[in-house]
Amino acid sequence: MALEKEIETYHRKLSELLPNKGKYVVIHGDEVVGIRDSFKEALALGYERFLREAFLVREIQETDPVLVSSRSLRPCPLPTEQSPPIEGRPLNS
Amino acid sequence: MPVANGTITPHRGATIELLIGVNVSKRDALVRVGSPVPERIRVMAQIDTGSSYSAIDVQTLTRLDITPIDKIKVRTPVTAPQDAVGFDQYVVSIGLDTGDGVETLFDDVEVLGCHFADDEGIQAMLGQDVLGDCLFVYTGTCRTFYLAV
Repeated sequence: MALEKEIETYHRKLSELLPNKGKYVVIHGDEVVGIRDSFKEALALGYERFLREAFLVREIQETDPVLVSSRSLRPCPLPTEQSPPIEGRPLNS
Repeated sequence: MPVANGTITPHRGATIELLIGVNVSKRDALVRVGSPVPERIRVMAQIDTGSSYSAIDVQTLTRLDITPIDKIKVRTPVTAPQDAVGFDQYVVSIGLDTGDGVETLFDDVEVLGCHFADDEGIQAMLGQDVLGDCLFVYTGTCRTFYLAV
């Protein structure tokens, strides 16, 4: 899964990061690459260091935000067991 | 001020053609190392005032070689409150073809990567995060809308 390690690192180091609440952290693997005041600055730092690799940019907060949708969206990648059949086509085709 | 006038259709509602590209930070980094910047991709976007976020079909994001920068949980009408679904978050630029050229509306927009069904006829959705910086006039009686950024 994309960013699994980075998210784990974020949660593991959250208590150290919280004095910078409201700022943006850049994490690559196990490494906290830097903390920046703005989202744009954090993005720029991430691309400067890891142009071809995934990195995490997240606002430092005590709890993870949860968005609410009025519409049913399908995430990507879909877990295999949740993949809906394509309409009008047999499942085993 | 870039402006778009559109027609409201029975099934899709207010839709607008947008140009999705890499975000400005990635574009600058690619230029710095002499790598080509992926061409922007045209998508049909539905304007959805009921969604707090914007979303783009993951096929478009893949074609632009954009990787996620975070994962966020979303409660949808089909999930129990405690079972929010994880969506990958991406950062893109959004542009509008005004006829006289492409105007970039937003340099760095966080969007969710998701799947839209082919029969929906859209590849993106504009939510309150983007609409918060726009003037949107929905004239239902005339089946038209106006969007200005």
